[in-house]
Order: sequence, then C-alpha cells, then structure tokens
Amino acid sequence: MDKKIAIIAVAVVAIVVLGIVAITFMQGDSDEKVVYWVAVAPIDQKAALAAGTIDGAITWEPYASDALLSGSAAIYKWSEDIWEDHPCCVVAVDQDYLAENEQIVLRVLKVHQVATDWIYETIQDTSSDNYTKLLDLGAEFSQRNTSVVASSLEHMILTYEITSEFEDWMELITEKYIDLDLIENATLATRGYDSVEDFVDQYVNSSYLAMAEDIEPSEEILNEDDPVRIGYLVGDLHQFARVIAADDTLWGGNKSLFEIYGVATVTSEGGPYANGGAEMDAFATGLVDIGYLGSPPAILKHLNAGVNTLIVGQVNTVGSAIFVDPEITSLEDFYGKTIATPGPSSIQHLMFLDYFTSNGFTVKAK
Amino acid sequence: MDVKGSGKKKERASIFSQWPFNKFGNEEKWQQLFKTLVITIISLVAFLITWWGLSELADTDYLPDPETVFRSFIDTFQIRDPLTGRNMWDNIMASLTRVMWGFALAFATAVPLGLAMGFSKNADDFSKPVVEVFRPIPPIAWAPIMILALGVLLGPIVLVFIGVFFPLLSNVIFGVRSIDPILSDAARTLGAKRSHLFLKVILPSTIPYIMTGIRIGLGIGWMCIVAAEFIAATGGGVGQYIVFKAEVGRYDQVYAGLVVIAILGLLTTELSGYIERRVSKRMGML
Repeated sequence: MDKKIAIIAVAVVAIVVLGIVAITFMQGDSDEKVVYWVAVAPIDQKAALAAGTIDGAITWEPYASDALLSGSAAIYKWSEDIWEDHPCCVVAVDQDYLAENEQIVLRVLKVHQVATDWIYETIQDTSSDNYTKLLDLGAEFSQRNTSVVASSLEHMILTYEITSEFEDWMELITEKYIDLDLIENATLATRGYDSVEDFVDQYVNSSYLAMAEDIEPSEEILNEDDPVRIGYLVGDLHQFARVIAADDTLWGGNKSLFEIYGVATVTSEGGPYANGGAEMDAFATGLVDIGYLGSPPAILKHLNAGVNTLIVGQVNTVGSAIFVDPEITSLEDFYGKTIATPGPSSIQHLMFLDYFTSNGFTVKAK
Repeated sequence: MDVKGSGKKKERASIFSQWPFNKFGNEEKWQQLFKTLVITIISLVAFLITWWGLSELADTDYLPDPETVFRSFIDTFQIRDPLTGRNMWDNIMASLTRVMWGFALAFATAVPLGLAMGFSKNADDFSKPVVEVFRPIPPIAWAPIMILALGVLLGPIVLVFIGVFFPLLSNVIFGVRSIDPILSDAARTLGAKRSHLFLKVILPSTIPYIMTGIRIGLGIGWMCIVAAEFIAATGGGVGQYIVFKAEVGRYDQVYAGLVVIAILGLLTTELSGYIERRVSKRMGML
C-alpha cells in the first residue's frame, strides 16, 4: 500500500474519531434548574436506578412500592401529592364490538364494578382471609411479593365511576397534549369533533356503566363460542379488578366472576401489553374487544391514529409515585438529574412535566 | 430488410453517440447506465403507486400515503420535535455517533484478533471457543441486558460493537486463510521472516476482506442501533424518534423515521461497498 494512502487513511480516521469525541462531549448543558428525562419501562426502572443510569423514576404500582421496599430507593412524592385525584387507567371498548355486543360489554362492566367493590371492602379488614387471598393474587399477577402488593393497595384508589371531575381531567389532558403539539389542533376536526369539550363528551361515555348496574348473575354464558378478548398491561396493579374477576377460587363453584355474570373471556392475543400505546395498537388491529389501559394513550391514539375506541369506565385514580436515589430529598437535589418516565404517552410523563415545569425547572430529554 | 423497431433502436443509439455521452468514449457503458436508471425509476414509481394504492385501500392512519409521509419527512428536519426538542439532524447525528463509536471499537478489536486467529493456530485455538459461543447470539438479543448493565449511553454503542465485531472478525480470518500459499511460499523462499510475511503478504492481502466485513458489519450495526434506541438511549437517535412517535400515534412520522433509516443504511453500505470495490480493484482482486 502506498505511504500516501496510508497517511490519508490515518488522517481520515483521526478526523472522524476527533469529531465523534467532540460531538459526544460537547452535548453537555448547564445543570442549573434543568432536569432530564429518559424513557425506561417501569419494570426496568429499579434496576436502572441501581445501575446508576438514572437518578429516579416516575412510575405506576407495583413498581413504585417495589422500589421503595427494596431499600434502594426512596419515594420523593406519591402522585396524589402532585395531582390530587388524578385520572389514570380506564376501561376502553372497541366501538364496532360495542355496537354488535352491547350485552357482553355491559356484563363485563358489571363484573368490573363488582370486583372493584369487592377489593374496596376487602382492604378494610387486613386480617381477613380474603385480604390474604387478594395479596396472593396480586403477587402472582405482578410477580412481586405480598408486601409490595399491600403497599400498592395503600396508594391507589380503585374505582369505576365516570365523574364530572374525571371528564374535566380528560379535557385538561387533551388540552395539554394540544399545547405540547403532541396532538395537532386540526386533528380534532379531522376526527369529527368540534372542540376538546365535544371530544370528551363523545369519547367518554358513562351510560354503559349506568346500564350495567341492573345486570344480574346468569347461568347462561352468552358468548360461549366467542369469548370477549380482554387487553391489559403486564403486572399493572391498577388493573387489579380484572385479576380477581378472572380468578375462579374466590367466587364459589369454581367459576370466575365473568362466568358468574355469563361472559366467556380470554386474554387478547399478544397481551398482556407493555404499555397502553401497544394495547391501543392491538385494538387497531382487531385483537382486543375490551381493554384496561391508561387514559392518555387512549386519547392520543384515538385522536392521532383514529383507533376506534370509547372510554366506558374508570379503573383507578392516583397510584403512581416518583421514586429516587435516597440522597435526593429536596427539589434542589434534582438539578441536572435524570428521571425515567414510562414513556411520553403515559400520565406519569405528563405529571412529571407538569410538576417540574411548575416548580421552575427546564425539562429536557436526555 | 429493416426489422420492426430497429429504426427506433438506431435513433436511441445515435443519442448515446452524441455529446456528452461520447465524451468518455464508452457508449455501451452509458447505454447500460441509462437502462439501469430507467428500470430503477420504473421500479420506484411502481413501488410508490403500490404503496399509495394500499394506503387508499387500507384507509387507516397506520398506513399513510407517500405524500403524507414525504411532508412529515421534510417537517422532521425543519421542525423540532415537541417531545425532545430535537430535529431529525440531531437524531441522525446521535445515531451516527453511536454507530461510529461501536464501529471504531469493533474495528480496533476484530481486525487484530482476526489476523491473529487466521495467522496463528495457537491464537485460533485460544480464542475460538469463546468466539464461537458468542457469535451465534443475535446482537439485538443483548439489547435489554446491555442497556441496563452499561447504561443508556454506553449500552447502544456496545450493541453496535457486537453487531459489527463478528462479521468483521469472520471476514478477516477468512481473508488470512484465503491467501494463495504460493505467495507465502515465495516470500519464505526469498528469505522473508515470519514478521515480514505477516506485514508484507498477509496484512495487505486481507484488506479487501476487511472491507467486506466492514460493509456487512455496518449494515448490522444500523439494525442494532435502531433496536437499542428502541429500548433506551440518551441524546436522541432515529430509533428513539420512531418509538416515541409510535407511542403517541403519529404513524406518518414513524414512516418518516423509517425512510431516514433506509436512506442512512443505504448510504452507509453503498459507501463502504464503493470503497470495498476500489480497494479490491487496487489489490488486483477484481
């Protein structure tokens, strides 16, 4: 090889390496009043904190309680202290499925109500057998121990009613997404809505819950050959009602609560899902009939991607937290720190943005 | 007798004999180039029509039409993403930086190791068991572990390293072992020592194989970086851009990101392929 070529080759390599080094190290910002975010799946956040990759995370249950009880993290704030009664998971239904199978949807909603009420009553007496059974089921579902499940239950409010406050929050979330340019203003009109208020009026429908009140247990399974396909998230204890409803040891007669109310169910193909966005994609591809998921991904994918769903019930309010390296104890300690969120379509991400910007921080993606 | 159509053929041929085509004195080459260009354009147009037709037929936001994607593609370079504050140039630079770091690490380790394994049986016996254990593992399978173990900065780089390392190593070993024994024997006969044989015969002869390894490795490196950025990354990246956009349901922008990856991957492999051909030609292998 010519010496000349060798010299040129070495020079090119040197320039490339110097360029890479320069780009890598010139990206730093002043850490003054800046907090960074990075998307890390809730299931990986505790390990990322232990590895020093992040300084904290905002997450849902059971991952917040899991991090806390592991001793490696401290809770900086529970979500109810950031945003009182904030909305979280909802029951969404495919509108085409609803049009053809209203009775099935009503029965599933009734089961959701009964199961939620059962959990609420059960947690009032922590010495009861049912409470022990509840913790065991939660531990099995979430792959966490019963102490984590018990702590989670203390920090989330399981519910089903669609209140006017919930509808107000849905409007607020949609407006925030429009402000953040995550939803274009014109999209509302494209989807046939006159305004944010009109969108929430149409997209959130409480009438099915009201109709479900009158549903009684049934010996006959309405959909024996065509089970309703239910979507839900991996290990998410916000969706505890579905877990206990599907159990056939709690309700007598070796039947699940769904069977007692005459509904055959099956976990949707591809489920459980890692996040609400993935579940909405499953709705779009016709894999899910009824799903438990976060309200923000439901809104985002309905408006941005036209996924034909309808919110027909709440699942929980609150039940999230910011957990941090125990050395972080005050707002000042967050300067220049990196906080993981489950991803930009989560309510946790929105809360994170809101909390830190309202406290004078500049929030940047890392 | 004039065969049907031969007049048109003559007419076309006369076009190629005119300036500037004949400037290079290779009419046939230009004719072939023109033919390739026409077929390529027809292929791309057919692809766009099919895409457009499928998009109309499917009528879903999950398959936007080419025009919508093109507009989003332009926007990604001009408008900063509200989520991350970055435009597509920033994301390309972030991905490129990771790919180049991973590539540099792989190059610095795979080439010397491959030369040693190809040249020395002892080195081969020592390294082969470990190499053969790790080589069949798809690089993307390492992604979740690497990112948790090494962090969101180093993890993606190491993933690219793994992706580039094995194809490069295999090619270098193959290159060393493909050297004509007559060349080695001739060098020895002329009194070349082992070190001379390595530096004057083996190393130069292996360069075209190294280039082939680089071309293959860079293609895999791109796949790895996108997968790594899907899971987690800091400082942006095209993969991260795609995953965020998918999460919020902006599928037109997801496709724009895919187009960027396709273009970058094509440019990278074409550039390395061009260098590979030039080097091979120079080394008398073409």
